Formats: sequence, structure tokens, C-alpha cells
Amino acid sequence: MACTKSEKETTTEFELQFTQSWNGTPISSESLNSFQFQNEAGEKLSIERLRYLLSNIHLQLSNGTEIPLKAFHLVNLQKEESLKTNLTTFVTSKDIEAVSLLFGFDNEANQDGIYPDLNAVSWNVPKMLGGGYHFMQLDGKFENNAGELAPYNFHAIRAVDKSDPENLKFEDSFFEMEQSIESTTSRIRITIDMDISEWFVNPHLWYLESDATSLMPNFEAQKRIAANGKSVFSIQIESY
Amino acid sequence: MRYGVFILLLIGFLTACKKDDPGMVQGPTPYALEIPSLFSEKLITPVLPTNNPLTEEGVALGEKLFFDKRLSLDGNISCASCHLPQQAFSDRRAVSLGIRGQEGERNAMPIFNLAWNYDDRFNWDGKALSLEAQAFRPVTHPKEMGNTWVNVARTLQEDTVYPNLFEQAFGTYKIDSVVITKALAQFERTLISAQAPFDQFLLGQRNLTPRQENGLAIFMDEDRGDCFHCHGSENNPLWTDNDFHNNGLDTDFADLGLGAITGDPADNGKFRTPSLRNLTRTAPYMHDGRFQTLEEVVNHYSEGLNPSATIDPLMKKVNQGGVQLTAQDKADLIAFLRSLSDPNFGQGIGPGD
Repeated sequence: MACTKSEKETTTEFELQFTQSWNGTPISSESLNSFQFQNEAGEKLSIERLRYLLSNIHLQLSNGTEIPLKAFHLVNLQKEESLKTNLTTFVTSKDIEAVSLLFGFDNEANQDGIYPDLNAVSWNVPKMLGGGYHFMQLDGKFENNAGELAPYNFHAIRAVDKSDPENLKFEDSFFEMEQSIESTTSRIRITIDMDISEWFVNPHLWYLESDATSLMPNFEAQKRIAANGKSVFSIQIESY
Repeated sequence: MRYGVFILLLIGFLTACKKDDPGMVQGPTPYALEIPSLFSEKLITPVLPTNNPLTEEGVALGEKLFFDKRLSLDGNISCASCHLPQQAFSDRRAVSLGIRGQEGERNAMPIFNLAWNYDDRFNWDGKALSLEAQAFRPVTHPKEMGNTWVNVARTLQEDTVYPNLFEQAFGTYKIDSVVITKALAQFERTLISAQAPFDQFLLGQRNLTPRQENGLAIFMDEDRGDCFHCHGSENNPLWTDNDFHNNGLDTDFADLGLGAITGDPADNGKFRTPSLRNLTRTAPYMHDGRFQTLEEVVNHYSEGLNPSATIDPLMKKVNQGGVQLTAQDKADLIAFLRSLSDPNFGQGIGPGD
């Protein structure tokens, strides 16, 4: 059924695009598997797999209320269909002040095994690490100091200190991002870009030589990943 | 208003008819797929194509066809010849024997829980893009059934029973490759395995042994087994991600796997992750059946990884040969893996059982 004029005036269509780049150069699934990247520490690397979770995607309205857009979205660079999603909300764009979202899940949402679509793609975190779900899987290979190709598994989860397995200690590693929206049109494109190179730079210069694998149970590594993540994402808003 | 009355009368007439009323036009009976509680709780709904819905008649026909050797050119090979029910629908041989005793090219994959393969890519190399498509190839493969679809259709058409069964299942007496593969796919979608001891543990019906508990911990520990990234966890009761990985079997590839299908060198040596269910009955292991025992499989991941350009980064200790498990850890890991085998799966399926 076609929208009536009054319906159109009270709805806003959103196109969410999830893009990826390396130091400003766009990358795609075509960019996978080749050693075309170099991190700030000077290590050459490839990317073979990139999946990450964004959650609690919502709008902030001028009257102070929040409108949910999507509970969570799993981006998989190898799955074209995951790189864009269209959503409609029953508010006019002039009432929208900003869009906000989280990298990963907050602690309330990060409950073990409760999302069948995430279970089905093996996105879970083992119970011995507190359960819940991955926030990111960035896998590939890098050239190590011995000149060998070595794997890296740059996986982000809720940071957990398991030095006492009977008494796990957690530190939040999800983080929020927000972008203001100034639009009066009924169709808005939100592009959320991940600059992958930033995971390895700021504030912690990352050496894959030192920290490449088994990062999930590494409490300090998870805290550093979360800190670096805060400069990874940028959000652009445009009317279309 | 008049139309409304007519529709009500029509509904009344139709609902008053009984199944065996003469002249009543009926379709096949919808098949009620029994989804295990662990699956319905943890997973999204299975892939059931709208153009091939499960029906009682279609599933029964598919089962009959699965065990019918007349699908092969010489009448000696059925689907079940290489996918034996007692072997969780896999084969004891590294590669199965087709007509005239010819060896096939890969290990016969077991058949269960296939309706939960969400990407709908089947075979070790992902060549078949649906279960229906998967059923297409073995019939005409020269090393498997070596037949032609025209010949198969003619053989079944001349049978005294089959035309009626196809009519009951698909509303047509005309038998062809489309309805045959649809029936086979329907049957295969009903093969569900979810009654392993570990399932019973998850349902609170039994405990794990200390060795199984330790094996599970190794499986889930990124510092030790790190099996869960590809094979799932208690939250993914399929025990596979159904994705494609190079797990370090070879440095040079005699079989390109997914790479031969996509043409992308980055996919060379990648094969679909098999489920870890029913391992006690699906030996030998890997796409070429190179490992006879679970001990050999675990040794491979522990010390036997081979580097290559496409080895999955999740094989993170490839430069040390593998994850270097202790003898005790290996034994315990295998104890856990065995707990994923359902001793009753496959029983009561097929003729004579």
C-alpha cells in the first residue's frame, strides 16, 4: 500500500551504510587477503575476515525522547547484504537531533546465548570468559620479525580478568558514538565508517609482534582495544 | 454482502468434507518437523524453501528414493550406499565406491541438521547452492551413480508404484529430476540429530564426566583448543559454522575445495566445516578421509598444521605446528567430542530397519 501524504510527512526513512577504510582509503571484500596494509608500527598485514557488532542504534529527539532504530546489527565485510540496511521510523526528521549507537553490546544486552541469529553464526564468547558475544573479529596475517607470515586474531569482547576463574572481573569495553542530525528531508543516509588502521594507533600503538592472538582472555589487551576503538568510527549524515 | 455469504458457504462446504470423501481434491499433508528444543531455543528457524514445503508424502517418497539402487546406472548404488544410516549417513571408506567399484573424489559427508545450513551451500566445496541442487549431481556423476536423469525418470515412471507416489507428493504422475530431487531434499531435511549425551547434559538430564568437562574447557579455551570459533558452542548446537576454512591440512593442494568453485585463489584449500556431532560414527575424517581416528584429528590440530597462503588465521599457532596440547588434554578433548554423538541417530530409517 502506498503511503498517504500525511504518513509521508510523519515518517523518516533511513539508509544505514556500514563502510570500512584504511587511513582514508575505502576497502571492500575485494581488499581481503592481500598484504596491502601497514599499521602504524610498520607491520605489513592482510585482512581475511572482518565482522563487528553495532547495537542500540537509536535516534535522539528534540523533546528528549529516544526512538530505537535497530537493536543490533552484525556487519560482515564478506556479506554484501550486511553492509546496508533500510529502516523507517514514525517521526519527522525535523524532530531528530542525533543518532547514537554502541560498538558491541552494553552489559544488559550482552547476555549469553539469547540471540539466535548471532548463535547461528558462532558469534558467542565462551562462558569461561563471561559468555555473551564478540564485539569484533578482525583476522588476518602479518609479517613478523622473523620474516614469517603469522596469524593475528584481533577479537574484541567485554574485557574480563580471569586470573581467578571463580571470580571473573569485568571492565566495560563497549563504547558509544553519536552524530547530530540536521535534516528536514524524509530520507536520511547514515554512513558509519570504520577506519581499521585506527585500531592499531591511538592511544596505544599496537605491535602485532607482541599481541596477535589469544587476545580474548587478555584483560589488558581488551582494555587497549576498547581505548583504541574510540577513534575508529566516523559517522556521516546526508539527505537523499 | 452476497460474496461474503458465498465465501462462508464455500468454507462450510469445504470444512464439512472428510479426507476420504470421493471427489475431494486434496494436496499432500503438511509434515510437522519436530524441532529439538535446544534448536528452537538457540537457533533461528530452519531453511525450508517455499517452493518445496515438507509434506508427509514428499518425505516418505524421498526416503524411498534415498534407498533405491535404481537411481544408479547398474542398479547397484543408492544414496544410502555411501550415506549409511548407521554411520550417521556417512561412509566408512575414505572415498566411497560408485558404480563398477570406482573410487569417488571426496569423503561422503554425513547428513543431519542440514535444514540449519543457513547459507544453503552444500558439499565440502560449497558447490551445491541448495539441498535440491546437491541431490542433482551424484546421479549423473560418472564415478558415483553414472546414470542420466532421463534414464532414471524412465525407470521410475515404468514402476508400478512410483507414479502414484509422485502424484500424491507433488500432484503429478510425470516423474523428472526436479520432483525426484525435491523429494530427496525433503527427506534429508527431516534427518535431525540432537539426542547426544551432551544435549542431555544441556537439558539437565545428565552430568558430564570430569574428563568431558575438561575437554569442553579445552574446546572453549582460546589459549588451548580454541575449537569454538569454527565449531560453535553450546549456544550453537549445530557444532559447525557451516563456513569454509583452510584448516592447515596441506601446504600444496591436490584439491582446491572452495577455490575450484569460486575461482578465487584466496579460497584454495578451503572446505566446509563439518559438524562435530556423531564423530564416533563418521570416521574417517576430513574431506579426503585422511584421518582414521579422532586421535589423528586432534594430533593434526595440536602438532600437524601445515602452513600455506590461505590457512585460516584461526589456526593461530601454525608456526609452532599447532596448539600443542598435552596427552591428557588430547584424551579429555576427545572424551568431550565423543559426548556429541547420538547413539540412536539413524535407527529406524530406511527399509529393513
